[in-house]
Amino acid sequence: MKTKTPTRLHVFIGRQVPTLIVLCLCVIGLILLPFQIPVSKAAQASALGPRFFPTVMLCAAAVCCIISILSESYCFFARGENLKSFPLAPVKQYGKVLCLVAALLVWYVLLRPIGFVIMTVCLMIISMLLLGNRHVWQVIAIPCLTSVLIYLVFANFLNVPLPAGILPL
Amino acid sequence: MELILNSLLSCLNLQNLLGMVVGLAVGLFVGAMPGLSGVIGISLLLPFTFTMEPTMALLVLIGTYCGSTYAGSISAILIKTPGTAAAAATVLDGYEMNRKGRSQEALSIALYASVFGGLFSGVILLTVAPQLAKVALKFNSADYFMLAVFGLSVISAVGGKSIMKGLVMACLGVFASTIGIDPTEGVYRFTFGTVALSKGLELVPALIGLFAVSELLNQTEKQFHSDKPVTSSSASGKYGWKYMWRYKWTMLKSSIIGVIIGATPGTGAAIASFMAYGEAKRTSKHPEEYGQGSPEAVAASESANNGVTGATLIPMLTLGIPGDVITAVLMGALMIQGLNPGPQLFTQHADLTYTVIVGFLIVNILLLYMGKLAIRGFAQVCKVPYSILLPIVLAFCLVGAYACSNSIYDCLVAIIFGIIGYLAEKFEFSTTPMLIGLVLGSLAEQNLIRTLAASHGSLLVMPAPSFRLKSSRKSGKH
Repeated sequence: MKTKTPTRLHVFIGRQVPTLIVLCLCVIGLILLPFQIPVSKAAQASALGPRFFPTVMLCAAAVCCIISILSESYCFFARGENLKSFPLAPVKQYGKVLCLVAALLVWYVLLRPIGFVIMTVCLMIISMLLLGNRHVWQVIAIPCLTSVLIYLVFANFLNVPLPAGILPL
Repeated sequence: MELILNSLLSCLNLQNLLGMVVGLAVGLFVGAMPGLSGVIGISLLLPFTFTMEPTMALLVLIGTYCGSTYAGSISAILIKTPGTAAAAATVLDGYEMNRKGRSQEALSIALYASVFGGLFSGVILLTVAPQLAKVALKFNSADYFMLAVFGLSVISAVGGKSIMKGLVMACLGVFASTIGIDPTEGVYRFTFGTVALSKGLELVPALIGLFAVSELLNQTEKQFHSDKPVTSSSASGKYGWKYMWRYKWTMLKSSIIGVIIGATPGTGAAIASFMAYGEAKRTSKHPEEYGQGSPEAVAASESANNGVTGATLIPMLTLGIPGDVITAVLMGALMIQGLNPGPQLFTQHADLTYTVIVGFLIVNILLLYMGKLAIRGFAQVCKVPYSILLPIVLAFCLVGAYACSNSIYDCLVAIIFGIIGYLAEKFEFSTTPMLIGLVLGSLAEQNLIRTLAASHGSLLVMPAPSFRLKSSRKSGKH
């Protein structure tokens, strides 16, 4: 089966999408900013209130996004330069990344109720499998040893109280 | 002089020496492992340093910095994979030497050249930094704001493929630094009603996310394994200072290049090593050997990239401006210890500052001996597959983020910044300016507000800082 090679225009549009998303996020931030930073009437009268610096930064980021898009448009349309598309991996690989992100979030949510050792063992097993390790003893032994060792070192020697959870540690 | 002697005695204290050795060992390990870097090593060690004395904590981290910068050459020479970006130029000739059965020679040249470059930059740090601090003490808020802008813009310009995208990330980094309590009126900003966000974003979880977690996501996508066969490194031969004497001018010139590049914020060891490589080739008697396994080329690139290490500390210690990611993390470590980087370090904490500088020189001497040990053992460690190493690193990263303030919320910050870092690098948005923005954000905001308040909102004071105005007024009188 033949794979379609993207046209120059597709590559150009594809390159601008992330910058446009950042630009949109900056605009949303600017709209939401007054709701997130409540200021007194006295502070409202002053231009140098708590809203000043974040507003300047969001505006600067938005302007830089626009300049970035304009400069690439100039290179593409006026000078006829070929732009390189972002190097993308097969979709399956992104699935693995998504799985790891999901595992990290689950680890975060369940860390306190279940405990550090059990959750870290699970997280390490998942990440080892996602990285392609298929040796059963490695996948089981290394996470168990590492998690227990980290817990003992941090809890006993460094006074960092990691969540024990359901384990009687 | 007395201060330097006292610092020397303090460094030779058994506890501090042990700290330097541990730091070097970690640095050598992370530097030699492709995919891991000095930043990851320092991030991992950072939580362990919270309970240490400030001097020992900084010496441990500096040991890691110097060790990792050198150790990138080990995997570059042995498996053609630079452990760090700084060793990219070493691959060109180092691996060719390895292929020709001269790996021992290449590794030894890299070690001695690195030690030479490190010591040279240490001497420059010891002599130049205090003088620069005297000048920096005269800076006012406008000057500090311009310095922050300078640091951010230079790093944005050289940090990635696109200057504009670098600036976007720098602005977003500065924006992220405004989360928490406003410094002027004490108003909560972007806290979404949560107590955890009221103290602002912690630097350590953010950098762990931006560099370590994002790298793990990246490697999961690539599913890269570094289990290539390692060529034997047991070729006989003695390579010491006597042998290295023939490359003295190459090493000196490259170290000077390294120091100049390193003292400029936003550049870095990779640029320095390629520049030194190019210069050494230009002036070499045998330029045709470059790229074919030239020992001179290895000496040039390695002395340059280690020449950067001491020089990057100059703007950090004297101006409070981190020149690259590692110095940004070191600056974070100073702040965690309750010390504000900048010229006042040389007046209020002179003993600590000089101990760190003298410690930097001792670390480079220790590197010579520990590097020799590392060369022998590292051929085996390089074989550890990523599928084992990276999950272990991930566990340490998450614990490191948690240990920052014993808060589970910091782990979430690390995860979120990890996702941001992964996506940003994918679409050519460099993450370094974002980190520098996070570090310099509060400095920029406080000084901008102070300057504008003093000048009644006029921006005209900005392009001409006060010390320049004073000098121009003086010249005007004459």
